[in-house]
Amino acid sequence: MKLRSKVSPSESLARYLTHKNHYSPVHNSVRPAAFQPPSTLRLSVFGIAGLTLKEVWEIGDVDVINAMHPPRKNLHGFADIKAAVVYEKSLDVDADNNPPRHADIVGWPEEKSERNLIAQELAARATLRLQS
Amino acid sequence: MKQEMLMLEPTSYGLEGCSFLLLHDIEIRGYNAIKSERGFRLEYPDQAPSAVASGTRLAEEIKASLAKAADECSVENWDGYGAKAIDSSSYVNALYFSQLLPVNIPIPEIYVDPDGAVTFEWYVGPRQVFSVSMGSNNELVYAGLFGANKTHGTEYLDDELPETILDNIHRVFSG
Repeated sequence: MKLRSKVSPSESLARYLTHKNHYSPVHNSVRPAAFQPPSTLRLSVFGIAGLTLKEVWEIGDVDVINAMHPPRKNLHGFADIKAAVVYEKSLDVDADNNPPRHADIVGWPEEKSERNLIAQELAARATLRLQS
Repeated sequence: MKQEMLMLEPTSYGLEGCSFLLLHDIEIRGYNAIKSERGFRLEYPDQAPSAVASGTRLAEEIKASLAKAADECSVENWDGYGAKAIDSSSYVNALYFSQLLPVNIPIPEIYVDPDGAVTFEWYVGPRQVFSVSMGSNNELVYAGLFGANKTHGTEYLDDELPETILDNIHRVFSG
């Protein structure tokens, strides 16, 4: 199933966590580092509305971890966040469906300090899901 | 202070067992000290007076965390999302910054941003967090969430810790 070009605010997005700095097991929370965009200012996420948890993990394994250039990382978990939170921060969700359900969070401000603050706010609003 | 000096060419250099690429010549002077072309010099006394011993321990702990972060992020794409390898200037600035921190503050988490900059983060919880990234040109890029309040901005790395940075570190732990 493809994402619509305009992702609904109520839709859940998954940001897959590939580094231990992306989350805090102690606080059971997502850390800001998970939402810091790369230099391209396109933060990779997947739309997961209507999927079972098993299917969400499958996307992480197949489309994130297996698609990486070696050495591949471990899939620690994912941050579950509503698109509405992204829109609240004046960011946008650019669905390219390549691979299916893939999108980038775009529209990041030029100032890094502002981007870091947004990353903190997104992380604070996200729910941590860890691999059991 | 020992006065041994070693000049290194830009090369892959091992610091405490961690390899990373240095973009500038670096001068090692005395025990455990680093000076970059940009004029920073970090020196740890061979015999620290007891009054500053705890500060030295804090610096050593931060230095160890920094070396670990550098090791984990020494290659491009260390996060699988295209992150840049740790920036050597940011690393040197982070070492210098750590020396400016007062001894009575909690040790921060240290990690590398996707753009290669080193970040110090004081994380009490999702809405009680403050971070400082060591940017280029001696910039200290900071951001913080304190409950419903928030802040962000840029200060410059000098010979003293900027008050704004120190105040915000304290603010994280007073919430």
